[in-house]
Amino acid sequence: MSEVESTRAVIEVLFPEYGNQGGDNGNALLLRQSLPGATFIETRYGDEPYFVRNEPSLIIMSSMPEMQQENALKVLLPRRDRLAALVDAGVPMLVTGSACDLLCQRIVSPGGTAIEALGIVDAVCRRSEPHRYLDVNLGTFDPADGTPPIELVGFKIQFTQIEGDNSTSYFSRNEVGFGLREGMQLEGFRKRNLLATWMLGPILPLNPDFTAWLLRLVTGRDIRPAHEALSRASHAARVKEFRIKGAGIHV
Amino acid sequence: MGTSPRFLLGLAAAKASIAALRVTRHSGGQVPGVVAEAIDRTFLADMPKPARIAFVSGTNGKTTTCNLLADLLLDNGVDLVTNRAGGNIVTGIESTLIKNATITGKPRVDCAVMELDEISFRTVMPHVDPELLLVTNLYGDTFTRSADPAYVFDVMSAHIPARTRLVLNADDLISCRLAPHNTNKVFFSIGRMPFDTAEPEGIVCDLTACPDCGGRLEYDYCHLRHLGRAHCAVCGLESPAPDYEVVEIDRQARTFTVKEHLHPGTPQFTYPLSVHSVANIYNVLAAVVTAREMGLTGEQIVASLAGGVSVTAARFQAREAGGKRILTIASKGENATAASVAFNTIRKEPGTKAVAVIISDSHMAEVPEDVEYTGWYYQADFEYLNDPQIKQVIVYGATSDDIMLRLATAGVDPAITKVARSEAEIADLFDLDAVDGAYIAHCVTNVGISHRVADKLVDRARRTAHV
Repeated sequence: MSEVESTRAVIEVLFPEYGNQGGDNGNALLLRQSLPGATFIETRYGDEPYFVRNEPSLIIMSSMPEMQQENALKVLLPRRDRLAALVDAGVPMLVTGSACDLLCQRIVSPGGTAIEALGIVDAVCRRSEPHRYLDVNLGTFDPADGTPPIELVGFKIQFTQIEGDNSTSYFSRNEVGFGLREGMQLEGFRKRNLLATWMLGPILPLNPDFTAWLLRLVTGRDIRPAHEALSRASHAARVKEFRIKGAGIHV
Repeated sequence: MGTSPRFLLGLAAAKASIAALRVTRHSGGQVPGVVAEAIDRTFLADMPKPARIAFVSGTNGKTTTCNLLADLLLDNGVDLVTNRAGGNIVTGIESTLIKNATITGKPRVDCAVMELDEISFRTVMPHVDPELLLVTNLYGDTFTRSADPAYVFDVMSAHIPARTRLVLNADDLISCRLAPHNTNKVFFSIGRMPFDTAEPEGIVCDLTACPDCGGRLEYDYCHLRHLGRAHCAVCGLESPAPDYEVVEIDRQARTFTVKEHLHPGTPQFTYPLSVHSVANIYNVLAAVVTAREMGLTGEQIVASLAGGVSVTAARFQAREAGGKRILTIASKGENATAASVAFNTIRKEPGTKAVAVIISDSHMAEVPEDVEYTGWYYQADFEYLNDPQIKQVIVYGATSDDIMLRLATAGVDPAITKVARSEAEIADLFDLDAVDGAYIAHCVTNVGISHRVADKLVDRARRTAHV
């Protein structure tokens, strides 16, 4: 691994104190171990985000409680235009789990009241507590850069369904499990290098090929994910399990 | 209430199911409730209730605390029914009430002490008017079902009756805020102690931001994870003043002293303690305070605890064999806090150790299409197993690959980790000669596996000692 390239990378972790639901903090943990020389900036509620005055190599924001989404929006909504400009400029961003709700036009509660969200993707997020949607996802991510498609596994554990059309802007195409909402195969959104998926896992430890691709996107170098062999074993076990007919999370 | 033909039919069928279960020697904790509900969909509402009902809820410690509370009351002549052998969701509550009812539904005893699942407040509380509710704490738990503590808080809070006496943990800035509409509250707390930490321990904290405004929380001290005293630097929210406060823990004498700020003269009582982990002190304190609120005197409780009433050790079993310590410790599945506390307990044990991690749910593994969610491993402190005194880590179960990966991210040297491919192989992989003790951290559903492995290790240690 190139320590020089790794050191140049600046990764902004938005709201790490909120973004640990379902173990989604595992994404940042694996990135730190894969890029030991990189600079990680943790932006907590009340801090000015690093991206406001700088261009990070990667922004990550992970699954957070519904209650904390509103706090995150208080910070992000006034910086919505800057964030959208960075998306348009191709700055890599990995948004996972319920953090993706923030990217929608609005978040609608079961009672019908709505809160304004960032509107970076053309979708509406509908909460339906207490109904919890549980599923497993096995699908394909197309890097669209000439490199081969990447098999992805992950979990869906959420109160929400997403209304929107991602037919030309999806993150992955599922073979198993629902995408944006039940009945849909297309999962998440991709807008240039904004990678938004409601999949949990956490997805980086579970998907070494995707992690390697992301590391290349962020650093421009072929950097292998930390603990790659173990990560491959874990990925292979999930692929085998998720292909079993009727596979799902049962509680 | 309790007189409609549908209710009486449901009750009779439920009682018949109890008899059938008895004949077939099954416990069937929730079956009577399921049968009753199948016939009378409003069975819990229709069922006559004991005059006094106390519920015990909260993420961690509710079973231990509920059992201890019931034992304290029973030891002091309070005739009561519990759901110790039943479930803690609506059908378990119904089953307990059915067992306590005559054929017409009249309660046989007038007091019930029952554990209640947090999410089940939604289905139980609208039909029951408890005299008292104890909430031990709220942590992240079973993300697949219960999402996050804030969600559980909302569910509980919305369904707590306004008149019920609430016994709340002042050291938990999540659960101490339950039910703002209820002013009938009493708070318990452990005061500042020498073993406190400045910040919550752990890779993930369930309370890193103010639960009211989302602002920065400042901790004065912590006893266990986020339990301690904290205040919000933005809105000023702070831990409430305790009515019952532990002012001294004497580990030598195995006692703790509680000052009762709410009673005239602020009396103090010193109680015996059988297991002195912080988690257990909270359990015993919660039971003691609730027993006080239910009318027992401090002297009665002291006498009961001194006379043998104690926390059950089902989740913690320690034995000595051939000079080796063999210990099993259980934690709830998909509960990062419980697993972290188990790992930390093992880490703090004296001497060198070999540790088996058996937290893959063996029952789920029996059903091929049942997928176990493993993401919660990243919220559990496997880092505690990265310790120079831990010489070996053995992993077993359907999610072994995920656990091995998590151990690596926690810094545990892969050279000391091994995967057991069968239950029989677990004990064989322990290198007992190289360590002072063997430790098994397991989820509650794997208690059978864990105890069988421990039995084998005890036999081996004894045989080796006799050679």
